[in-house]
Amino acid sequence: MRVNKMTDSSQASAKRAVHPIVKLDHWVRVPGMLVVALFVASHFSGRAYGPLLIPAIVFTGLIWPHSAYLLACRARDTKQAELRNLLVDSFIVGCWITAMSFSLWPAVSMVATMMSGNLSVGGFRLAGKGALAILLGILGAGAFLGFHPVLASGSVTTILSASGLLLMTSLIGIHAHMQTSRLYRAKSELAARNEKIEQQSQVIEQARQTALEARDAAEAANRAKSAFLANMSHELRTPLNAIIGYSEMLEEDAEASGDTSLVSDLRKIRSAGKHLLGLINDVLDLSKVEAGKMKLYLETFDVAGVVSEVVATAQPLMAKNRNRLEVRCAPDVGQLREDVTKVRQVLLNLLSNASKFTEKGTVTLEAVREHDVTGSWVVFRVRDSGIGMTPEQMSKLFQAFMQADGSTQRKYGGTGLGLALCRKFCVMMGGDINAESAPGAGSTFTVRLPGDVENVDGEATSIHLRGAPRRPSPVATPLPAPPGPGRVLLVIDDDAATCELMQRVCTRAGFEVVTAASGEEGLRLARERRPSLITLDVLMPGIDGWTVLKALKEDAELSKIPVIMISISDEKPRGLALGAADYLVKPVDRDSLTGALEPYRSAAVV
Amino acid sequence: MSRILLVEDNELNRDMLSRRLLRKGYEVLLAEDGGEGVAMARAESPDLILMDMSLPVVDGWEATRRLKAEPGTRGIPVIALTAHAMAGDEEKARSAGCDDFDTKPVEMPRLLTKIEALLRKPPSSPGQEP
Repeated sequence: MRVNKMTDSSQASAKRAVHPIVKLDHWVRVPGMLVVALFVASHFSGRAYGPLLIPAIVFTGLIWPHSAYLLACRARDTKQAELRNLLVDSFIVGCWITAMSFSLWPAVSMVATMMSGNLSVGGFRLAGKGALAILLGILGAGAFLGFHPVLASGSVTTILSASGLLLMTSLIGIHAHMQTSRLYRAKSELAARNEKIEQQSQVIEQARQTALEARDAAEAANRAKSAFLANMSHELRTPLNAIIGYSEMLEEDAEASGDTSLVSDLRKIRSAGKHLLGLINDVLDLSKVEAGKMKLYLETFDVAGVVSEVVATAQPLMAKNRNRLEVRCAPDVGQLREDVTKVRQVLLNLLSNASKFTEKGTVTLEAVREHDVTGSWVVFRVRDSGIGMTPEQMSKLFQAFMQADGSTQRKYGGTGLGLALCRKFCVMMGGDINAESAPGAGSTFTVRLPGDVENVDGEATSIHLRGAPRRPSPVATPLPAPPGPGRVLLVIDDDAATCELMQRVCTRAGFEVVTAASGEEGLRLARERRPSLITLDVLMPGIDGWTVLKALKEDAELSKIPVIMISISDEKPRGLALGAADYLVKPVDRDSLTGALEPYRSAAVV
Repeated sequence: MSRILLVEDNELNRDMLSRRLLRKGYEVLLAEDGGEGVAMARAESPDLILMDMSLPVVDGWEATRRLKAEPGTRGIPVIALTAHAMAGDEEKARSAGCDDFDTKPVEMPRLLTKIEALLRKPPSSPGQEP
């Protein structure tokens, strides 16, 4: 095991990058130390010497330079290890100075070489430490050998020292040059890389611009499509009125004259006309939602009442495919404050779908009240025992004009707009819709709508939020922890529908919401109420959002209030540059809005 | 016999609805736009007005406002007809002074119930002509 460990660590160190200075120094140290060994050998030739001299010379000239290299290569920090090696070099040199009785030529040439080497690699700091190491070497060796200064040296030693000095200064010169050129290369590489990054970021910026333009164009095209559909639907409806009306008249005539065969044909014309009318209404609704023109009309109503109304309407549909409709309306389901027309439309659509794709089966409509940390919800479930859906079919479920597949359309009819519309309505009303299904196992559609019936008045709801004991369950969405008291949110928007959505969502997020229908009113309310956050529409009659933002930022007392701009056009950079804290593009859905509000829910009051 | 003024710009719908009302035993007066509708209401004092809302020249909302502003015509009940059943349309129509509201395409039995209800209702406005 130990062996394995060692192999592992040596492999690891082999893989590590070695600092280039280690190699450079190695090429200087090998000849340098050999020269030192030669000095010593020439100094002691013909003199008496101790038994340790030969091993010491061999260590200095042959063993140490290679050991130093290996030590540095294996170290965790190879550069630091190399700097330590240089200090060991200096120490060895110091020892030999004492050992050679301070013989001047070798001493000077060794110290000069050592100092210039240290300076070139580690600057003044290393040179200082090196000088200290030399001194330590001198004193250390002196402690053992004593101090016997004889400055003169033999002629061979002098010549060797002089040529050694020459050789070593040249080597160190080359060494320094190599270090410099390495630096230079690194620098120019860096410059090239920077240039490349610069080019790449230009390309990215261009791509971003293109994408933004494409998105704007697509959005404009989508709005144009919606407007076109809205107009078309309106135009289509007028002749349809005549078709339905005249067929009804003829039906009455035929009934009066007892012509039963005509009656059934005329009835078919009328029912086809009504079907077509339903489809046109769906197209019109969807285009209104997409053009941002769909409005909510909130009223408080009994859920049970709406359920029984919807069930009465849906019964004939159920009879068509011989399905049984079961209704389970929880006694505590209570009231909703929503757009009742849209709730009805969503439920009818789900029931009609369920019945369409089920034969001689059971369709269940369930209405219950559920509570979680995000508050109280009214949940409707429409379950059928029909053909069900594959995951692939489910993925297209809520998209406009996407039925499960082409054959579905031929067999079951429909525009494929119903569910798209349902989802849009549910999201508009602050809720959501989703589906669970498997082929052959039926489908379940679940609609969740916010179940608070308090008037959408910030005061009441925020008290309610603060009063409620909160024990966040692990599965809960991390929405509202109660915000600090008196967190007023000012919504400035001329569009009533946006104000309404903002009020619903923001009240749920725990703000007291104040709305202003114009820039002037917004500025007035900002001064009066000192909100902790403002959302600001850009396109407004009278003074526009930009002007309001400027006025807010110029007012010393209001300038600190964070402003979230909300607009149809994406001018985020401009918004942020002018001091907006965030920028959202319409249509804003609940998730992106709560996301944008999140940072301000708990921030200290300005 | 009750006299009903039908204000409707679309020829087919006008013809269809007027014939169906005639069959039900009403006398029907016709007007093609809001201005004409107001003029005819002044001149003829019908018992009830069926007013399409999207009309040329003067639209249904404006025409209704004018009728409800005049003492001579204030008492005539007005039923608004709009193309699409939107809660907003109903509110808008009622705020213009309409007494009731129905959507096109009309469902005859429902519309007749509304007409009868308004015709039977005693006139509430004091400044109204007999």
